[in-house]
This record gives sequence, structure tokens and C-alpha cells, in this order.
Amino acid sequence: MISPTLSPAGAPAWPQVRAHVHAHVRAHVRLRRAAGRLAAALALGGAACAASAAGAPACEIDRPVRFGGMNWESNLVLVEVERAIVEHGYGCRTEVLPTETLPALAALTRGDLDINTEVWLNSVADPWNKAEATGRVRRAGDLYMGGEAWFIPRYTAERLPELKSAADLPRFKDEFEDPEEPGKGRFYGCPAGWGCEVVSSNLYRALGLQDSYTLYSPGTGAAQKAALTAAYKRKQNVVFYYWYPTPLVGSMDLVKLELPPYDKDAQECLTSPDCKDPKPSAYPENPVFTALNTGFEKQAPTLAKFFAGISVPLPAMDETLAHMEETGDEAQAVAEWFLKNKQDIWTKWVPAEVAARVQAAL
Amino acid sequence: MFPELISARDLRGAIDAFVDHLVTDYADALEAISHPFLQLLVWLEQALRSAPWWLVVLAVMAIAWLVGRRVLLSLGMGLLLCGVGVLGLWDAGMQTLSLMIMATGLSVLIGIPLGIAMARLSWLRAVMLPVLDVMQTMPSFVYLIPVVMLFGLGKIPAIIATVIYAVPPLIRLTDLGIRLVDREVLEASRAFGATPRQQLFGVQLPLALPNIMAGINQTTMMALSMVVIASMIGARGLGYEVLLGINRLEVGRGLVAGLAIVALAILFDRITQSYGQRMRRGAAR
Repeated sequence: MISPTLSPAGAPAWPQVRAHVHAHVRAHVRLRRAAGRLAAALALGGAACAASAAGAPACEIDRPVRFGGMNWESNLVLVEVERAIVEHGYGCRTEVLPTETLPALAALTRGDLDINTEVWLNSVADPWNKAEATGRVRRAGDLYMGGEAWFIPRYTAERLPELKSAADLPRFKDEFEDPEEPGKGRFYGCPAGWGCEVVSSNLYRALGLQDSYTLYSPGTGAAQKAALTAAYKRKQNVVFYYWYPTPLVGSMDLVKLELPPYDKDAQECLTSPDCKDPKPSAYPENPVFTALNTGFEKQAPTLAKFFAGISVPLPAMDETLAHMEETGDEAQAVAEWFLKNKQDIWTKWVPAEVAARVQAAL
Repeated sequence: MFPELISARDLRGAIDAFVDHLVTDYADALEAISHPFLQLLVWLEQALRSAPWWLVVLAVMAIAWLVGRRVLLSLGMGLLLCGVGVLGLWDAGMQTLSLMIMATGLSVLIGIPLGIAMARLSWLRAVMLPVLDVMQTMPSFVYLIPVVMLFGLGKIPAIIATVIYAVPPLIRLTDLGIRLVDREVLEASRAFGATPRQQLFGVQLPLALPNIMAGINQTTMMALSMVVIASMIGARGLGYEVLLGINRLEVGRGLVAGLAIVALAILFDRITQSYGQRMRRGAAR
């Protein structure tokens, strides 16, 4: 919404397939206008179209299936994978609305979106519980277990062997100097307004870093990634919050900073914006699941069943995202790569005939 | 499909590799160059934020009085600035104000000399016009991300992005203003034996001043419209509040910060405009 240039998700999937269909239609029109001597060709073209129409099943709903295009990579790739399967396997039209976590949840509740492919529960625990209480959204399938941590690069860990845990940070504030606040270090928190920003800033207070570090919330995920990537390339010391699986964590050699063991009560307070007296606690494992609008679920039970059955092993996800980072490909191309190379994973999500149709379209 | 003459993927890859190369080899040097600017900006921001609010308001009223010589204008400007404080955004407002002052100052330093050069050298004009078009239309995120990679997150990339976007109208209007100066007036000055330098500073610039002031006015307005974008790459202030409001779906926070941006815009607009008007009246006399 505010960064349309960043989300390739708005573009239609599989343009080559669509172009092919369009070419068919145009050919038809031309043929109809032509004289009778082309009747044989017309019959041939018509037959070809009829044959391809018979192969495609009817979609359960007569409007495009709407995906939330939250603009982080794992979501973009999985959305494209699901779109390919829904389009080729189930014969539906799809569209992606580029958006961000909380607006997407609001849109899902309202029914403006049908599917939020990735919901990271811990980052949106409160808003999610509220949305679920309305009865208009439902947690469908668990995709994988994500996680979050405070990281330093391996070379920083080697330069500062005594820096093991987040509580040690104040001693090393000069190593992470913030050029805009002389005398303080800079901790790169979570992008402004994201759910994880609340936890980051509470944890920052809980560890008593206010006097020694600035909590630097980048304005967007892209800017955060750009700053961290540049720092890593230049071998500068950085300390930052990040989550995984992501291309960034997959492609960099990072070390997690230790946090006090996970404590449920402390964590609950950390996720609340009004937490009075935050206590440090490690990040819990973060279930990432697909959320569906319940209206959509009723209209399209078969599709809902498909979405409920999706799950991806974490190593496969890491591999996919590392592939994305290496090739610099767009989500669509990576999705195609995934569908070709990870058949053992996605064919489990769908009945055999659906899988066959998707494979035929590849 | 359009025939593929060059591989788009390779082209993108080459650009990526070039930026990577810049980042690994030149980022330290660029950061060192930008360091004095950063220090100036940090100093200005600290000064504005730590000064008592009434001092800042009085200073703005004094400036408004000096440029416009109208009591009502001066009072109105003071009230407007107080309005930002009443909305609870004084600190954010001062951060934005310091960024604006710095961006506008840099724009004037870059824009006016360039505009003068463009008015005198027609080849420079031919080169600069398409460049200005690109600067005004290229989506800012396209160059924001490389700038972030080169200068790090924070105020410097925000200033660079703001200046790129905001300086074109000043260049264009300076160029226009100088070229619009009456040929006969110039001839008369030459007849009295004015050197080219005297012509520029004694005749052309004073007569072009209303246009230049309009350019500065446009530049400040466009710089203010960039504050939300600038906040995406780590500039604090009102734009950041708007961004927070949008991302957290807090309509109230976004709207109030938006109103404060409008208040600052009116402030800059009225002050620069009334200065331009006074110039014009002076020129008419």
C-alpha cells in the first residue's frame, strides 16, 4: 500500500500462460472474421480450445480468490506457490493485494481478503485473538515453526568473544556506535508498526538498554534489510532483531545472542504495548499458519481443505529462500522453482489429479 | 511479446553487481564525506529540540515579521507553531523542522547556482532538462534503497532523497526567472558599462528574485511532502508518526501528525510567499 514498488505480488501470475490463452482468443476472432476457406482452420482452433477447457475443472467461486500480499519473501513465495496450484489445479482465478500485516488482518476479518497465507502468531497475538473472536477468521493449517532472535554477525562474535548474551550489550556500546546519537550504540529493532516492534521495544526496556543504546526502528522492512545487508558486506558491527526463515538469515553467517529462558508470563507482558514492567525472556517458537476468512471457507470448502493441508519443513523453506537470495529471482520464478524441485512436498497437499494438472502446466 | 534484444535479467544482475561493488568499496569514503553534514544536522536538531518552545516560537514570529512586515502574519505563524505543540507533537515537529531547514538550505545551495548556469549555457540546459524530469518522476524508493546501502539508515539518506525530489522546481524557476529578464534592461545596463558579473548580481538576479522565491516556496512544499517517505528510511519526526499510524491502523495518530505536517507547510509557504511578494512590490516600485 505505501510501498507498491516493493511488491511484485501485484503482477498477475504465470503471464506466459495467460498470454497463451489470449492468443487463442484473438486467433478465434480473426478466424471468425475470415472467409469460409478458413473454416477448416477454425474447426481445428475450436477443437484445441475445447480440449483445453475440458481439462480445467470449474472453480468453486466465480470471482478471483484474493490473497494478502504481505511483502516479506517467504509469504510472497508461498502465495505464488498457492496461486499456481489454485489456478492450474483448481481452475480458479486469483489476485494478490499488496498489504502489510495488520491491515491484512483487518481486511481478512472484513472479507476483503480470503487468505492470509502467513500469520506469525506471536507477532500479532492480540489482534489475532480479537479477530478470531469475531468468528470471521479461522486458523487453517500450520505452515512451519518460525522463530525470532537478536543476532550479531559471526565476524562480530569473533571480534568480541565476550559478547554472548543480550544482557552484555551495554558493555560493548562503543562497538555499535550510532552516528546520530554520539555516545550510544544502535540496536536495529523491528520495522515501525510491525507487530514485532512492540516485543523488541519492551525487551529493550526489560534489558535496561535505554541508557546505552538507541532503539532504531527502520521505517520499512526493505530499508532494514538494505541497511543490514550493507553493514554485513562492509563487515561492520551490527546488532539487530530478525526473524527466520528469511533469505537474510539464510544467506548470512549469524550468531544468536542469548536471552534469559522463555517465560510465559514475561512473554505475554512483552507482547502488550502497555506492558508496565517488562521482564526479559527468550522469544518462543513462532507458529506460522494460514488464516482464512470463514465466509470464503463456506463458499469454497475444497479450496479451504487444500489450504488447511499445507505445511512446509523448515529446511526446505530455508533452501528455497536461500535460492531466492542467490538468484535474485522474483517470487513467481522462485515459486516455479519450488514447484519443480520440491514435488515431494507439495504433491502431499493435493489429490493426485490436481497435482497432475499442476505438473502438466509447469 | 516484445522481442528480447537484451536479457533483462542480466541487465538487472549487472546493476545489482555494480551497487554491491559500490557498497563494498566506496561506502566508507562516502560516509566520511557525509559526516560533516550529519554533524551539522545533528547539532541543528539538538538545538531546536533542546531550546525552550517559546524561544522557537518567538524566533519564527521574528522571521515572519522581518520578511513580511505584517503583524497579523507574524502572530498567525506563532499560533500555528503552537498548534503543533498543542497536538503533542512538538518534539517530532522540531525533528522535521530541522530536516526541512537542512534540505531547503542544501537545495538553495545547489539549485540557484545550477539555475543561473542553465540560464547562461544553453548546452547545460539541454542536458539538465531531461535529468530534472527523471529526478521529479523516478519513484523515490528506486534510489532510496541504494542510498540506504551506501549511507546507512538515518538522516543522511533522508536528506539526499528529499533534495533530489525537491530541488528541480528551484532550478527550473531560477533559470526561467533569469531568462525572463527584459532584454532591453540588460542592454541598458551594458550600455552603462556593466561587466557580466555586475549584470548578473545587479540586474538579472534582483529582477528574477520573485521567481526564485516562488521556486524556494515550491521546494519547501515538495520537501515537506517527502517526510513520510523519508521516515521509511529512518528519519524521525512527523513523517515517522504518520508511518506508525498507517502501519498500526491508528487513524488518529496518523491524522494528527498529518495535520501537524500541514501546519508546518503553511508556515513555510506563508513566510516564503510573503517575502516573494515584498520583493515583487519592491521591484514594481
